[in-house]
Amino acid sequence: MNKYTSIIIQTVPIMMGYIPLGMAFGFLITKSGIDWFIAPIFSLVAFAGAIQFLAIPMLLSGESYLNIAMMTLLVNFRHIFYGVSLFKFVPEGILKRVYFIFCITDENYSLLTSAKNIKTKDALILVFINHLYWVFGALIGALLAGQVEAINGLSFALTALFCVLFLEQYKSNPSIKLFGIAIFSTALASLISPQNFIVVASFLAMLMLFLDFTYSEGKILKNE
Amino acid sequence: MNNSYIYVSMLIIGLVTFILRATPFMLGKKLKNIDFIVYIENKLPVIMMFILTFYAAGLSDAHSIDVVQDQLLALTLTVVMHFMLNNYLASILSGVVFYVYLANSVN
Repeated sequence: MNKYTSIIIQTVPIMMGYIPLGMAFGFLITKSGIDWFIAPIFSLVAFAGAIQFLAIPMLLSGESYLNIAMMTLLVNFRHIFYGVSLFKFVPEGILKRVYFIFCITDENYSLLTSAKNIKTKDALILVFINHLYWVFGALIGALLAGQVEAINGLSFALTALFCVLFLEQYKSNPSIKLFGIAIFSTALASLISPQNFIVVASFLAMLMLFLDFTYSEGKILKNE
Repeated sequence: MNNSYIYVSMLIIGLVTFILRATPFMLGKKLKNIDFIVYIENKLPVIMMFILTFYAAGLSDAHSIDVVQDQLLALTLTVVMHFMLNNYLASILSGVVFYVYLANSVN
């Protein structure tokens, strides 16, 4: 099998999430009255997922730049921890490096940390192809916004993708404790702050990992 | 609302997100000497995947019990398929097809 074919095959699960979700984004932002060409440009310069959806009501209500920056910081704060698991994939060369880092979305992080057979040097091409899906989806969604009604439910592809990646991660790192932390952070965040779920849940998870590290694992590491 | 306001806003979103993503790389090798960073490197992905599954499920504007029920049913099918066939595509595709069917059928 040709090198590119095998990389493209690895991106197919992401494609199934990005094209429908990108289309949903293009569709919604264009339906809200914003020019159709904004959708693909937005996906090209941000590649930021959920915050792009959240940006639609913020743009419509004319939020200040400071509020938009703060909201982005909160919603995407978890990304500050992603790079730590991806050092080995970073390509040589400043431009390639910057572009790779720009592409560390939830989905690319998930794929690169879950799949076992991705070659380090192929990571850049892989995230680039996924970025194309995202921009292409937004473009198609924007163009369709004037034409059709959306197919209800396609965005479930992303939920299914994360779910499958979770199962794969768990297989290679089975731990009741980690599963417990995941369930606890999810449940508590849904209860105390459903509006800020992702921010609160990832904060709780980090807090519990830190406590676990301080009181058990850290001591084991130090004694080794 | 004019387009220059939108362009500046999208650049801000892109830039803030980029800075967050770039922080660990700017700190670079120094991070590798911190035990806690080494510790979360392997532990965090599995937890984030779980949280993101629920987050994405809620993203599709679940405000009614029907939607939650549909999401859980489709997720169950995805998990079962994954255990049976162990194939990313088959699991995702069956979950999506089932969910689209559920979301569009009249209860």
